Amino acid sequence: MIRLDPRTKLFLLLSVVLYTAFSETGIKDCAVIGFVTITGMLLGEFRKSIIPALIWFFLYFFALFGLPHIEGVIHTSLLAWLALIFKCYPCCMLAGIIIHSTQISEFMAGMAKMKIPRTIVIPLAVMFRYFPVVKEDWSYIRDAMALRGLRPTPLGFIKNPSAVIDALYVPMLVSASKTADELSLAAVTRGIETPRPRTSRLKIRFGSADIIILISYLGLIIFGIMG
Amino acid sequence: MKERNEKGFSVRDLITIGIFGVLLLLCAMLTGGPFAAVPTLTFYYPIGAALLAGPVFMLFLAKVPKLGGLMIVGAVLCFLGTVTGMHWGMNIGYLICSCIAALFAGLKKFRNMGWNVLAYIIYSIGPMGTYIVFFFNRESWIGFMLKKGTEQEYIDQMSAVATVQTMIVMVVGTLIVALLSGMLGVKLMKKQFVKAGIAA
Repeated sequence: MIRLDPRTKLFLLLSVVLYTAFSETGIKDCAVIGFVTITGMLLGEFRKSIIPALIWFFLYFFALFGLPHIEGVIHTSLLAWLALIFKCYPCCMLAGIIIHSTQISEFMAGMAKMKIPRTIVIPLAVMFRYFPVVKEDWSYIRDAMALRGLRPTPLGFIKNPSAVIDALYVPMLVSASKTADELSLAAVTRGIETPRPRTSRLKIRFGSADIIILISYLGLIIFGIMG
Repeated sequence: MKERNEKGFSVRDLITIGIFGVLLLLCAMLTGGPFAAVPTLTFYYPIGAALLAGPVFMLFLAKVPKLGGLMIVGAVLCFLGTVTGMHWGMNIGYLICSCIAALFAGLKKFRNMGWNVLAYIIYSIGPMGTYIVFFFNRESWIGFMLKKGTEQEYIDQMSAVATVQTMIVMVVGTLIVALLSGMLGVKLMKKQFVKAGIAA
């Protein structure tokens, strides 16, 4: 098990994005998936790396050996769908591993070290914080709608469109606006406006593992684009 | 409370950007997700994604009426998309379309509702990036799955996937849905949020 710098992880993601952007789909992608799987296992994410890898190989063999036997419209639509899946799969898989193995504080400290401007960092930090809140709000909104006999489903929408729209958007947006005001006061109280650079208790630095992984992914891009 | 930091954004603006960014993203995922997962409907993801976010977008423009606000949303969505492994066509599409949308809405200082709806329509074009890249690059994406067929079969299947017709349905459908969603947003703004004093 190794630990990687969040900046290294970001670079790995970018390199896989570059690879998928400039290479043709084919057998090389299997090598990339193998690479990503090994990286994931080194990071200690066994479930997140082995299961997606198995799904990938299943889809890949299906595309090569099962798909030619299917005819007609299903064949065409599967062809397009699989093509899109294959293009996104390596990035999504690596992203799943990285998100699972990185803590948000670690990520933010990495961002601060990269000198990313605050206009980007603050919204991002708020977003991570706000995702679970929306989920919570959503269940309250659903309860409140049920009290009025409304349902946030397509069927409920057809029955009573304007009431559903009001009951859905108004509480969602009002609570979002209120949260924005409250969070900004809280953040200002905690000194988010200080002109000094952000400090962090977490020590973030490049180690030998980072260098080895970086070099191997650099090789991957060159191999992917040239070969 | 000091109102502005070095770039002309107050902390409140930045936090509002974060929160509305989440809502925009969730709205797109909620109705777009099912489209993307079903093989025959994959190409209509942008239509689904444009369906819900109109009112969120309108209120956002009212709350952060600054040129950079929408651009930062685009940049943040682009970054988040990259980190979560979305295809680069969509990420870059979001970034570019948000910037263009900001310019259009900014022409009228974010006060003219018609221009704001136009901005939302432009913003909704963002997720099409992936499919446009796919359309122009079909050969490298699906070529390996067709190696066994004859030459003619190959050409037939290549032209059957993502026909011009599919692309037109996708573009026109997205524009119409975005227009409706944006107009719903304007209506909700007038009916609810302006009266409640939230749109300020």
